[in-house]
Amino acid sequence: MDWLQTDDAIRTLKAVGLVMFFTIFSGVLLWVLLRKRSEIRRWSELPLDDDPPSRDSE
Amino acid sequence: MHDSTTASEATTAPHGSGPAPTDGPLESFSYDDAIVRKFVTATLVWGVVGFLVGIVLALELPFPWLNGGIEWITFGRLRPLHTNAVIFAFAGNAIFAAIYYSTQRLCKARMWSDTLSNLHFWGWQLIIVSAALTLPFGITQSKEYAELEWPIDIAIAVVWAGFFGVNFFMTLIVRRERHLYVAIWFYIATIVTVAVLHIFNNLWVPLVAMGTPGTALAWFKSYPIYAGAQDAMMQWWYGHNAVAFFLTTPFLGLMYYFLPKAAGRPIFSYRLSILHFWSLVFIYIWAGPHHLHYTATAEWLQTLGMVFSIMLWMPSWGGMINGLLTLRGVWHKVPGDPVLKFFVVGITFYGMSTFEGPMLSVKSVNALSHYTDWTIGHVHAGALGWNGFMAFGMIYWLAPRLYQTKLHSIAQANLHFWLATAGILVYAISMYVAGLTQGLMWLGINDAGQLAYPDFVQTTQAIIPMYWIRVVGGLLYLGGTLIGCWNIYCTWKARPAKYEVPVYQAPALKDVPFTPEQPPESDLVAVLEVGKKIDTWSTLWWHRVWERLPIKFTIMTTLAVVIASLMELVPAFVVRSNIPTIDTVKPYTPLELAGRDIYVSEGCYNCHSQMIRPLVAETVRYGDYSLAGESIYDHPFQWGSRRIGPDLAREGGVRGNDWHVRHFLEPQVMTQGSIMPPYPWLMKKKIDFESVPLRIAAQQALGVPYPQYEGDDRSQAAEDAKTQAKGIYREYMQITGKPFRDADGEEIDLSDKQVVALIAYLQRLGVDRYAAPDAEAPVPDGEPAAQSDEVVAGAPDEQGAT
Repeated sequence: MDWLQTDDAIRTLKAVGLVMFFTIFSGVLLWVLLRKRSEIRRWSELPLDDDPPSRDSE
Repeated sequence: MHDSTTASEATTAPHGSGPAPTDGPLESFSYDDAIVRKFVTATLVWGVVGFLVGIVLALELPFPWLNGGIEWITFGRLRPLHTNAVIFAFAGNAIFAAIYYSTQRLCKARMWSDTLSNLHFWGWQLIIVSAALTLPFGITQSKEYAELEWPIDIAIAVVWAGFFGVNFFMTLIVRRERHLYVAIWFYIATIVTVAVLHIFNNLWVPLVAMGTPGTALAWFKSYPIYAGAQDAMMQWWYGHNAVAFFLTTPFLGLMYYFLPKAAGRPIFSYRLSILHFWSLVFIYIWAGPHHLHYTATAEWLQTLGMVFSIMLWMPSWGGMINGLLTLRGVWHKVPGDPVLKFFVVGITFYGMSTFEGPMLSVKSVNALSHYTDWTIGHVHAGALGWNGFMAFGMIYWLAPRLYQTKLHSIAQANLHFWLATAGILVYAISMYVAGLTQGLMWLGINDAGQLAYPDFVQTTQAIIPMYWIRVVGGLLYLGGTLIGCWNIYCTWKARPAKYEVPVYQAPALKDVPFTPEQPPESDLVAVLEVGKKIDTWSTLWWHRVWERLPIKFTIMTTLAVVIASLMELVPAFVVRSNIPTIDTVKPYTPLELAGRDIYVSEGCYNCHSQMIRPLVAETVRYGDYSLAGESIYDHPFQWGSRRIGPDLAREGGVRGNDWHVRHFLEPQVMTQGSIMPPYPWLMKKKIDFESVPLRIAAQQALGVPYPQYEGDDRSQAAEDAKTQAKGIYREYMQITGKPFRDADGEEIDLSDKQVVALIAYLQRLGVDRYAAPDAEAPVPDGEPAAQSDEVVAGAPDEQGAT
């Protein structure tokens, strides 16, 4: 990996890393904020919707 | 396969799972709770074992004689058993119970294969038993939380990926609920990342690959392919992410499933949980180098680890707040419900640990905290406060459902809660005080520029009271756990003769009408076609497609983890300036290598570091700070992470061989106040000379230059080891004027005993850097010369020692 031995290569790697991770973060944030409220509500209720009435829950 | 029920279980009439629009017939299925019951039992049993061993260890520090001269239970050999038992046996079985219970319900599907579930359960218990049977015998790789030797490593890979992973992912594929709830995401990240971490940190060359070892112990022995600074980076990339992906992500999955269940309301913000997930997966993987602050690793790597650790604070607290706010409107239930109490304190400890972690990662704080008991306080707040409380909260919630009867005693559960809470507080606070005391005393410099506490043992003695308080804290926590075990046992005793197995109905996923995502039309006008495409793309419609696809989701998670790891590790490994070599640093002699393996096997690294940081107080106490080039032949690295005793990086030549012999026999006689246990067996057990050529061969396979032992000359290594051992014992007799006698007065020839090999290794530590360069190999210009500018010639300073 001789190409990695130069300062330029390291600088490029750092910039690529920063841009890549910032982009993905922003993408996830955007995606989350764009979900419909009803959709989010249904997903968040999934754990409450999976069991029969249990003996001690009354 | 996935619709079967066990013979001892009776089935009951179907429960509907709500009307669902369907094109096809409803499928009937039941959940496998028998496997969850097994994992709950194992969690409790191993919890008691792990905590009990912890208390023995806590007592062995103020009472070094407590092992009774039994080598198998010395601190150095027992400590890895404690950490492995708590992490992989207690917390491990708890997350498996959580995953098996919640995944089936969130997917509306039984686990894909009952056989794989059981293979996973029994395989995992077998691995734990193997750990308990190998670590006390000194069979260890010495890499923290990855101590288990190569045959067990292979078993872990098979059980984790082959049994658990396949079963889990196949369950996702046959699921009947389209959306994967966020808990499942955390489980996916756990399974994928732990597999990657385990495999890449456990690449080794076993001795058995080089020939037939003569002894059983040598069969298990292996050397990691990495050495020195690179091994350290791999190890802490693994070590930190074992915390992240074994003790954090699965417990967050547990939290996101069981907390809403216990509170009876959905998670406060599902959006926040998604952000929590992706931020953790993306950030955690970078933070490993914060375990190596001020060590001989590249500066950029340490800074990277620090910055990402601080960034971690935000998502971690986002998760904590999300958990606590879920209880809005139901806080009045908390005082009367032990489950919610355990969860509230557990999540609070998550918040405290994830604040403390980033704080300890700040280099200036770490200069004080590293190697001290502060770290021990931190990890116990995490493991007992966060993991332990979440596990117990889950078990109390599960018990009535799994054993189909009322919980035996709410009062006992409350008592467990209060004992555990008091225990962890007493434990953590005493360790914080001990850690700060150690750190400040080690770094203390008086007005004359001298160490304020020149004898290391002064700092040891100062914290003994804290060790006592720690024992009290541990006993409280263990006491609570025992009450919890009794409570669950009594609940189990009151179970019905036959468990009821409800049958559920839901349509197969393929029969549920589903309109595939279509790209929306762009409403832009008067732009190029490519502009419209970008507009369509930016609505992220494509994300809705893959979010339902577990395989693609898993690939995304894997990519997040692997790309980050590669970006951190590849430059660390291949950029040559990260590890400048030193010409005078040579491989160990065969005897020194055998001695090093004894050092590893006895677990000396659990109490002694071999890494002097570039801090004034450290260089005054121990000598010149360590350079990366000094450990390039160290497979594995032995930098350590804790100083119960002093650093040994420059131990070579400081003391005579006779001092070391007497010290191993009676540490307290040589250093008053030392808490090192005696090692009388080192004077009785023979050096395994037969395996020495194999050890050399394995090192050669890893690129360590031993030109004199190539090919047929390999057996010469054993002869050279014997010659060097005789020389060391001869020197011992010259100094003492008599042969060695044991406590009974019986004369013992030490020249083939383990103590001689270990002394050979200790006398080599840190001396190569000051050795005269070879006449035939002059120091070339360039990097090594730059290196030698930093070196201050002369023997390292004398130091106080235990």
